[in-house]
Amino acid sequence: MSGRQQFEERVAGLVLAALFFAESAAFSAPEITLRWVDFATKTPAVVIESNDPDGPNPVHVYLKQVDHPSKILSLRVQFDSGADEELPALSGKWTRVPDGLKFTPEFPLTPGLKYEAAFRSPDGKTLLRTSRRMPKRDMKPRAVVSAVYPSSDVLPENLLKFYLHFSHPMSRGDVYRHITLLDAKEQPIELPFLEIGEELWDPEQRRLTLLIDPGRIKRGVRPLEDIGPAIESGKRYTLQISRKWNDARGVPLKSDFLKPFRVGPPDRSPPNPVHWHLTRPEVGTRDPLKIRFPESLDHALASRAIWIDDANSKAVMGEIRLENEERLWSLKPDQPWMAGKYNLRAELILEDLAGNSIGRPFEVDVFNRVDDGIKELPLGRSFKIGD
Amino acid sequence: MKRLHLLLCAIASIALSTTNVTADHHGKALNPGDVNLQSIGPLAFGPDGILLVSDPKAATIYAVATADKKAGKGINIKNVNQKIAALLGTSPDQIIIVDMAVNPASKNAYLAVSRGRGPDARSVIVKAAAGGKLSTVSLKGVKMAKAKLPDPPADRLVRRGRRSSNPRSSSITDMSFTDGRVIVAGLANEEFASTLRAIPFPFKKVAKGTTVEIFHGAHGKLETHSPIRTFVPFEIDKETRLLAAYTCTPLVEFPVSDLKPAAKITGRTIAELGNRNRPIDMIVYNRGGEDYLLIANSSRGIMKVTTDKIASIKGINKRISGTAGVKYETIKDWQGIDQLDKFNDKLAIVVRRTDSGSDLETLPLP
Repeated sequence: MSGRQQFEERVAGLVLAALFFAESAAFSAPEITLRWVDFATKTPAVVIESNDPDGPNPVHVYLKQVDHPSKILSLRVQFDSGADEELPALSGKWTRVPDGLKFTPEFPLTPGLKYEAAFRSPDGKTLLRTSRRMPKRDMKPRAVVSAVYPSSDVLPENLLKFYLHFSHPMSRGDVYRHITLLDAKEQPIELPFLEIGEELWDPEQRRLTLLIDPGRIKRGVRPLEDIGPAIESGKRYTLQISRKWNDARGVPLKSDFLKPFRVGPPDRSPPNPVHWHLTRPEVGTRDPLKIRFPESLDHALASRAIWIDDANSKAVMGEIRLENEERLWSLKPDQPWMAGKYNLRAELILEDLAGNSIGRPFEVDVFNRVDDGIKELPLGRSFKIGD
Repeated sequence: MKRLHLLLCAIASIALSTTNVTADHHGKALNPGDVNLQSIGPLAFGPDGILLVSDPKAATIYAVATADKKAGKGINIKNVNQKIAALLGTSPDQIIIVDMAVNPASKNAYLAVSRGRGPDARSVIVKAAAGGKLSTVSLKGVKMAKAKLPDPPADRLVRRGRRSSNPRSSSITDMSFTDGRVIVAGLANEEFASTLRAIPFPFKKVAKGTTVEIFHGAHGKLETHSPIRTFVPFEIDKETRLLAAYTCTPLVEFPVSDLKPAAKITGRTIAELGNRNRPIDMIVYNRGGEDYLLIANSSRGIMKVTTDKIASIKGINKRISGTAGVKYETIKDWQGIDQLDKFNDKLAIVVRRTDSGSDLETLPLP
């Protein structure tokens, strides 16, 4: 009997054995083993090996007969819904191990999914296979909408944006499906938001910026020609966030979130720091320095674009808070206040709720252009603490 | 021993090949290195099959040699999202196809894919080749170069409330290569303003962006805030212009040479294509000596725009109702197009939404 015949008989025996043990997680045949390595870790792998001291190693013999190792060893995801045709095998790399071949997927396996490893002959017959399901993740809902800004329940008719804050990182890709603006009769307003494919998330995916469609913001006294404004002065609305929105783990929110609000007149005047009211703290304390604005400011920009410089033009480090419907800004310094000159500073990008930034209204009329007015960047206003 | 030696040779010859280096003159602008994507945005192709990859989170544009130059035929892949999920070992709902670009050198389609939907999602480039074969594009040990976009304004105070973080981020809405420059349109998540940057390639230091102001006829306003959704280079009177489509949907033209650092330019609004619409992708192709512009939209289907009047049409500078400007026809049988790129002057490659997911298709241009 030739070596080739011997080998083919051995493999035939293995196929029979494989039929009996196909469902076992780690199947061991007399000569060939197909096994998982570090299955539920970040670097899982499958190994096909034979350590029979007699005769040729079948894995090595097969490897010589194919143009790529993927022809004999592959790992495939098994969707529970099935698939109409054979799906591509997982991307990854094949490396030789002393008694066989190892496949390491390019990406970690996904919780809850079933994977099947298969060892095939060069002519495509499946000789061994083993499948395992990754343990499911904790699917208990835990994420909630932690805040929506503007926090006021009266918003200007030309409101530009909302910020939705979440307690945990969220999933992206179809956010607008979960956000509805309802009128007073609980009927949804059609397409009130600017749906941006990139979705304006912060890097942690815990805050989404939701822009009102600029084409739906009422401007001036002229009506919008073929669609009405998204929100109108004197009416009541509710921003509704569905609990079906998944967090980053793929688990829905704990509950729906509602933000009812009333709409007031439009705001067309830019914020002016001259009208801000400053409360100075005592020297030697870590009491917060407070600034009161006559109107609510944009939450994100007011948190970032206002700061206090000391006499050496160095920013005072500390904890910033925005309270009282974003009309009160405070800075609690890390070090006690020292007597001396300080400078309240703000960048020109600072906006109110209607997108009017310092020195420039959001709405610029081409027939009546206003000059940008304030040129200094960033803007400063000096004051003293202590005598 | 001899057997072992032969086996090692066999293993060596079947090991996965890594990307070869380019030998052309643009290749010299690239050096061996790893591309570690933090996120993935639009893709574009430069000369000689050089793939441009945007990473919005890192505010970086990478140029990567693909050495993929052998011209293939059209590609058709049913349920492409499911097959990409299988390739990346996850479920179809965890796959987002962010963008698609056809390599003009090889006619293979490159897809920017997010594997996962959370902040820890992996960014992957998947190549779809003729015959429907999908593979991931290795970004390790490739010939590459990178350009960092200028930093966003620095946070002067690191703590807001009890948390310290920088929630500001920028998105990249589209990217294109023309006349030795990579042009990048962006949008921030806090300031509502769009920027356009022209980066010379080979990469040098990236200058401040240009603010583009447009007259939006449907709103009767001059706007600096509207985000540029998609744009395409187009030559008029031997000068390269950009045709840019905005949300709600003005189509605007301006010369590439005007994109100077920190400049503010006003584009010429050549059409208003209708409200409640988001343009997705644009291509230019030539049919019988005439150039046409094809625009894929979120809710107004595919528009085929004639371009012979673009040079002469007067810019829209007063309020209009409905649509105005250059003429277009709507292509009825192209429904649900999420991604569009040109294959050649006769064919386009699209990613089309279906009931069960999405298909990658090669379609004859209208």
